[in-house]
Amino acid sequence: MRTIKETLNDDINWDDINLENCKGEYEDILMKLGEYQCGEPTRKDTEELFKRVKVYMDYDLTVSRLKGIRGLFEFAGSQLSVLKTYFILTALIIIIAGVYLTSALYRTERIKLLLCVSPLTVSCYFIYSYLNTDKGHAEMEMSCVFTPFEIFYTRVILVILFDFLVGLAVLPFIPSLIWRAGFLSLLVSWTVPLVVSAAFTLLCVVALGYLKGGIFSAVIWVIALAADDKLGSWGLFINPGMSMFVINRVVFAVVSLTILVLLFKYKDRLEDVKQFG
Amino acid sequence: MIITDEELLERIKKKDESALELVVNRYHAPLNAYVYRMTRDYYMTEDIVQETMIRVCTKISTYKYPKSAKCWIFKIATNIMRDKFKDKYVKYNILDIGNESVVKGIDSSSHQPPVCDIIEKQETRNEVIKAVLALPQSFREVIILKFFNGLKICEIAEITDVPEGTVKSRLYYGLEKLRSGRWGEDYKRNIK
Repeated sequence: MRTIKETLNDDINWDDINLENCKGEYEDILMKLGEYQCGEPTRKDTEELFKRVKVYMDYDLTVSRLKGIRGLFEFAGSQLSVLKTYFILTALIIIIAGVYLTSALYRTERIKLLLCVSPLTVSCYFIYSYLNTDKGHAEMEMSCVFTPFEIFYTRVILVILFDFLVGLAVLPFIPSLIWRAGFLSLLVSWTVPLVVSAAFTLLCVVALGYLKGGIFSAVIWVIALAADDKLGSWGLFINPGMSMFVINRVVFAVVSLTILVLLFKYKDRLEDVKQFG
Repeated sequence: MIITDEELLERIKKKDESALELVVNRYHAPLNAYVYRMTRDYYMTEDIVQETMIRVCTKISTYKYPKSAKCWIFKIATNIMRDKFKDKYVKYNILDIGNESVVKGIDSSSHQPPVCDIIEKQETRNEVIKAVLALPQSFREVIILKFFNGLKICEIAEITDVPEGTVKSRLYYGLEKLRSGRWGEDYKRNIK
């Protein structure tokens, strides 16, 4: 059943009713409404407006977007694509350095390095090694000859060396103060998740043991990845480190897996080296 | 050959200054009229129109061709105005006054009518201004866009982000509200 409002709307052709042709039901009111006048801007006003507006043609961001903390996060997010290359390059430097360094190390030390590079990968490796190797448990124990604090700080130092210091070195070449602020916020959002992720994995392993801790931390990282994917740009707003965290995880997971594959490929040779020196 | 507004916006995307100049020339007066009728404050109008044009430049990447350029630009202006109207100062000071004396270029004809006519006309106009400003913002938007900017119902619906049926009912109730207002009553009394 049609309501009065619907009937009314359908019976009146509003597009035909205007001030110039005010007839019929609304004639009285439209004639009065015609008094609601307003001045026209002059040619000079329009020229001045154009002069003021054209300055903004080369700006990609409005001034209002940079207001407040949210503005800073938005700015950082918008610059992500530009700086992504830089972060991927530094990540590759770490990986290449890692592969080179591990070529002369024992497995226990390699696990330590992996823990520094990718907690997710090493969590999986803990589980795999514990379940499939006779000496799994012993290996895990040996890998923790170094204290958790030592491993934790190694990871922090790696991050600072290859990301933060390089970032700071680049800073003087960035011309605008706003760009520098954005760049610094990105550096922080890059480094904080790395440090937090390493600490979290270590805590899990220390508190729950290698098997449970490995499973727990691996599950948590997978959930974090999935959640970030679902959150999209809101994830960036809620936690500016989340998007950087994803890139960090993906890049390091891929390259760390490559290292793992290489390790297993040369497993026998490594065992020989370990036994016979 | 006349270049459409949509094509001009596409050219602005490629940083074409002449296209921007054309858009400013075409939309300055309509936007000015729309915003001024909504706010009745000259300085605020200037501010909002400038902000609208700046956003046309800075947010041009969000415009999707061949969507109506007119709707897109008016929608920007509407959103800026809605933000401004949230300000209590604007709500209780500027919108309540409706200072006609600051309007530029109004009644600029060289012929001067008798003083009593001017006063009478001014009084009527003030009544109309008060009645329109007394309308709720959503009603005022559709009435001004429809009767002064000459937009179609579908365009108004797109600009104000409401269904066409809502635009129609707002037009109807808006006009009824004006009719039931003080100057509407005066008008009815006079014609009787």
